[in-house]
Amino acid sequence: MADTIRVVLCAKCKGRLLCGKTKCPLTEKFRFAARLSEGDIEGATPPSVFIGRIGYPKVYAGPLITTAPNPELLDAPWLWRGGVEDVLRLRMSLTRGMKAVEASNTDKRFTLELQEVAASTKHVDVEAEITKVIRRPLFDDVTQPVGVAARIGEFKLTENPKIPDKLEKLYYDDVKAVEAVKSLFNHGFSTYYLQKVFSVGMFGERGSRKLVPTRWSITAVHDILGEEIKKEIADFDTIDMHMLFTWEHFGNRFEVILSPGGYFFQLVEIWIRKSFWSPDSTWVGYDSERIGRKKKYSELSGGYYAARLPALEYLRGIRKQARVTILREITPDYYAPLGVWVVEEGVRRALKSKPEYFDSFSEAVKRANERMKTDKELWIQKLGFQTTLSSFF
Amino acid sequence: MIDVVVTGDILKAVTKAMVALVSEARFHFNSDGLRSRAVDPANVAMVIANVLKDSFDVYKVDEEKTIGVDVNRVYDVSKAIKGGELVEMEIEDETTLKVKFGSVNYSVALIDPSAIRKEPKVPNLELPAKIVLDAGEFKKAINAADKISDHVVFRSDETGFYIEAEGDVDRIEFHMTEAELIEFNKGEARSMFSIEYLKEFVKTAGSGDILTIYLGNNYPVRLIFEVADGKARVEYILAPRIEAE
Repeated sequence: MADTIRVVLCAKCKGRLLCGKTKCPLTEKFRFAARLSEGDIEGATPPSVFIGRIGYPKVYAGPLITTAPNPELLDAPWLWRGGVEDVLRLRMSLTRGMKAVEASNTDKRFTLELQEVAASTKHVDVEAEITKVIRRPLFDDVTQPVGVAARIGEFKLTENPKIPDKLEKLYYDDVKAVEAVKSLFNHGFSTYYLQKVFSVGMFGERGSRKLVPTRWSITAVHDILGEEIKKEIADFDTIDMHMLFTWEHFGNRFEVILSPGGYFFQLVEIWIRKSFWSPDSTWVGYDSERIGRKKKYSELSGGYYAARLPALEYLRGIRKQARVTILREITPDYYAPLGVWVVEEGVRRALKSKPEYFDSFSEAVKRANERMKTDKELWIQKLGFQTTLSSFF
Repeated sequence: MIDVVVTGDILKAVTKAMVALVSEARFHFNSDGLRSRAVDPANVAMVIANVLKDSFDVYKVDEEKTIGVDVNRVYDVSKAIKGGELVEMEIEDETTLKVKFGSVNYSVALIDPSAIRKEPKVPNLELPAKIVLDAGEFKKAINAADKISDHVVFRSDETGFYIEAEGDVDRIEFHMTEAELIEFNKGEARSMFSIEYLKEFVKTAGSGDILTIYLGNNYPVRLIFEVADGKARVEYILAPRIEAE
């Protein structure tokens, strides 16, 4: 293991501290002066919660609170537009309330209140007693950024949350987590809602419910839904043309190519020099999978599962299979990590746009390359398809 | 009625070969011996296992017969058998396979062969390069490459046979010249393959086993392992990965 840690690259690690340092030198750049002070805070939660991962199974959990006029917008990535600074401005107005709790202690009053907050479909007015302000905003490759953190004492909801019947039923019926996630998603609940509810331990059988760190819950939901949709599309026919979709936002370009063939997914991640996770040189990462369950956690981290889900949603929607190639190019405009929603929404928005059609994969790649900044030679050799025997005889 | 006796290493080799790709397989017993073929669910690789009649210590097969075997279970049990130990396999009716070794009697329900995925036809492939080498050396190269990448390139030209893999900051090259290879026709060929499959295949082989490779250009490769002291033959055909350009 020692060897892999020594040569680890920032773009691959994305703040997971694989370098052995106690703080990530890249995320440390973002220390904001906080205006928050000790005392009571009255505000609203968008609704939103954050469960830390440091120290698991003892974690810091709490609500995200804001005094901004439009709380729901702060937790609705599908509505976010503009540049990195616009998202930072929105999210930095959130204060992360923190209280140390055991992950398995899901019937404690505080945890139950967090569950009510997370499950609400509209913002909830809350009151919290700030006991200590921690002047360090949170940046992570998977989760969305959050403003300053504060230890909280007393915490209470000052109005009733609005909880969907569908969720209450799954909660009281002890439905298994995978089934609950799938069922809510198929009823139109967003992945963001599912991730929140998943993280506060509302799914599964009572007794085995646990708080799940926000970062893990995001990827868990992407992974569960992706693997479930793979099973649904396994018998569909293949598409018959090469299709190319594109989208760019927040310094991230997405070129999505769907090609005829059985399901196969590959993601190329290109971090241009000076983009957030790769200050010194351009880094190209690659991962892929076939229809069977993906066994190893992707080297591309949570972004892989975030890119895969909207592609699978699309295939399920058109009732087809395809070989999926996603090129994700990250430019220096992406100067702060915003979380994997950038990938999820980017691919989703690309797939909602009008595609271009091609006769061959290489023509589609050629067209995609025209819009990309990175020299093709740096990434083209990563692309490949696992062929099947039947295509030869 | 089938009643055959083999050494444990042969039973292990055949079941292990099948397990690399499938969990259930059809076994055919006929006057030539035992053979089994299967394609993995993703249709990327094929396995063909053959044990000739002469490799059995006893081979009593009244009439040609096809049975459906849960190879996962049989392979698991065969791990308990010593390599040189004799194993008797008996099928009296359509429903049960009996495996006897030492004082152990193992019986397992057979699967209706028609419920198992249809067997593939063995394709006729024209592949320009033929490379024969020690399977142990090949296994070493694949297991090393697995540490750094998920695919490898097999390449052959007049200077020898190469296996190449590239990681983020590292690279592996395996090279054997004509002199180091057991047999080599210097054919020119190059194809890329998934290590995920190859590393399952090499589990079948050990040092001293002979491996024959037939390689083409962006074409399926044939890997033929002579295992259990050459008494069983396991062939894999693996579809290549195709690069974008």
